Amino acid sequence: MSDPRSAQTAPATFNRRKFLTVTGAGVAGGSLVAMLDARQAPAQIKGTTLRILQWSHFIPAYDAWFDKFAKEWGDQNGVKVRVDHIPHLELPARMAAEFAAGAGHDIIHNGSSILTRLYYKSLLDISDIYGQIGKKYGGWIPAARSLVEVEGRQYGLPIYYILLPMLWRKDLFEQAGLQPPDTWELARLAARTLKPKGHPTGIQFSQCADANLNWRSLLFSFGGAEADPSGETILVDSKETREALRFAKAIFDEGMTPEVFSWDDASDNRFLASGVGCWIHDAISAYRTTEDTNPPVFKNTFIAMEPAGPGGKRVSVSAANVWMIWKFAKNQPAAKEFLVHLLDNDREGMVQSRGYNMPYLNDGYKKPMPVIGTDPKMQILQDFPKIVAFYGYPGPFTTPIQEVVNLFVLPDMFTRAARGQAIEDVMKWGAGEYHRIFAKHKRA
Amino acid sequence: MTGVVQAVAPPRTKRQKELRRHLLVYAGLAPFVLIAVFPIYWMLITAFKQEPDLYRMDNIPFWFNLPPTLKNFEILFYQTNYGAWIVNTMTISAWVALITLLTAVPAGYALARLRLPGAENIGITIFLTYLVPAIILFLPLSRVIATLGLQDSWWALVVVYPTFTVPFCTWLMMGFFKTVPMEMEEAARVDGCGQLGALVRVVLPVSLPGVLTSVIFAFTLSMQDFLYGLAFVSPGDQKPVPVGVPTELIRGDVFFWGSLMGAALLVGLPVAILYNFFLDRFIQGITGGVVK
Repeated sequence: MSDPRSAQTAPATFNRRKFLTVTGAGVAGGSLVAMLDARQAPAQIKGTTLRILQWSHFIPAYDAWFDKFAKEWGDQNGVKVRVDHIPHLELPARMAAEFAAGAGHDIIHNGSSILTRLYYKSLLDISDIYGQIGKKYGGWIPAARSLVEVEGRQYGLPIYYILLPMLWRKDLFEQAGLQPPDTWELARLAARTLKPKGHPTGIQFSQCADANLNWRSLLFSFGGAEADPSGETILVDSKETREALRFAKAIFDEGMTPEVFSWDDASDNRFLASGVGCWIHDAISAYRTTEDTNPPVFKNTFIAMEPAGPGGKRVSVSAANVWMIWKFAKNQPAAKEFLVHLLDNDREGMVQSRGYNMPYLNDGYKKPMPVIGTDPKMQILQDFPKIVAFYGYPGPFTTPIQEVVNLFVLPDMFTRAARGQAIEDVMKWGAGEYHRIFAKHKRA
Repeated sequence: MTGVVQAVAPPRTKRQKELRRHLLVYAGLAPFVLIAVFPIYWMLITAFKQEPDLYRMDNIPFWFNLPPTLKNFEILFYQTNYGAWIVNTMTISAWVALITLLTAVPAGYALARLRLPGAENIGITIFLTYLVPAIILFLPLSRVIATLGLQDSWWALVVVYPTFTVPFCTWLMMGFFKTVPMEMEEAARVDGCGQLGALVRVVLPVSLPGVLTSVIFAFTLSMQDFLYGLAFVSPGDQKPVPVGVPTELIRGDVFFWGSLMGAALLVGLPVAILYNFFLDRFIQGITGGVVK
């Protein structure tokens, strides 16, 4: 039975003002959707300024293209665009400064350390454009969502990620009668065989971004995990982690030299380009560096699929890149417009980045993909999206995991193992660190 | 017996003794000079090397295996804002040195010579603020900078850098002023100088090494900062050298070694030479406050 009062008052409340409000909102909303769909920027952004903070990309030409691309978009839409570049490792400090000041850039880039969960209360909810772009380009790859989603809302836009495949010297492998490093065991065999011939391998046993990524690829391919899919339960203390630690110790003893304890993110690039390394597990920046600096070595350097673990599992932990808009950004409409425009030109971005920028959108994987689809040595990279993961796998990239990553807990575990600490002691220390960090965030 | 007499060496002349002493001194110094100079030599040759020359393991790394190139400097000057960074750095440092001097000299003088109650403790407190690390201060300071509307301008650094140069130089000047005999100032006052006149006409001229040391410190401390520059200045044309060079010549895990070395060399070498000109005064300034 309906309330008679409501029935009586209904016509009175639906007055001219309300009619105008409802229809106005409807028209505005409809226009925004239509404009976003037709890629026509709203007039309100004309005469404004958009400030973008972006990392210094591996490829200088990509930055040059991006700056021009942003300027052209600004010119077309009457927006003055300024793009600033800083290295990805310095972005968290800059982000902290802008957060403290409550002022700064409109759009801010996150690379490797994705801080969505730390700052989401100060970030703009951009679920609308996240959904719209996903729908337009065949959906996002499964690993994308957890990078930007907090409590069911999206506070960032995954823009691209960077793969770290196996880069190996075919000539050295063939001379020694070795098979390509399709499994971690084959990679270990190659290192053991080639080290005495002056060609060891190397992965960073140190506190750097590559170590965080590489040792996770190995751990996850061995069937290990950091947390469960909910991200709440720590799973690092496992039989698989112990196996991965033992394996890392063995591969260090048999196939590496102690210099890996002092390596940074660029050391493996130099190691490969110098012609010494028999294989490395790194971003294709190392491949490009070799191309530019040592053509004979480059000719014999090949890219392989992520090596499989003992159970045949392959997980490639990649360096994520995400854009965010501050809630205090002065030009939120233009920021959203620009991000949509950028992802509309995702393919061109991949071309300009010489194949570094891997797309998060499913339509981006139609073969042949730009650059990597046409280069026979790089074609294998097109098959990586099926096995791509990010920190926290199989769970989301939660705030505690962010701290675990920033404190290099996992690389430290592998380093302790390689230095000869008993595996059980390493496990006790590492699991203790995970529990301490998770408990701290639970209390908070 | 004759043979024994022949085996005895003639006594060394004074000149030979002096030569031997010099040789020993230089032999002792040589390893230290090598350690000090080698990085500069490495910067110098790397700045002129072609990139493939840096990566080949079969090459001798201490000399050129491929013809020298100016490409690294071309990258520096035509593909980055290096020129602007140098101008920014010098301007910031000059402003900071001026502000520091105008603040630290009167502060140091007052604390050292005006017999203020608790002057010693105030001096220690001022110095302690120098010890607060930038990593703690940059967050609250970013709010100050935003409030002043100086974000992303090198003027932000002119405001921020004195927070560490002033305490240090005040302390330095305090020590130095204490070494100037009080009688000199009293004599000036007897001759008709006021407090300010005595400071300007008598105390400051004899404290010149201390003032110069403060200027050098303020200048070089400003040139060394990275964190504040990174946190407060992001536009490419506003950065100082210590921020611009690593932020634009290190891209992910790709280092532009030649240009990095060239950039460091071009800034480091003139400063080192300049430093050398004032070395005696600098040492005098640093050690001046040690004994009263």
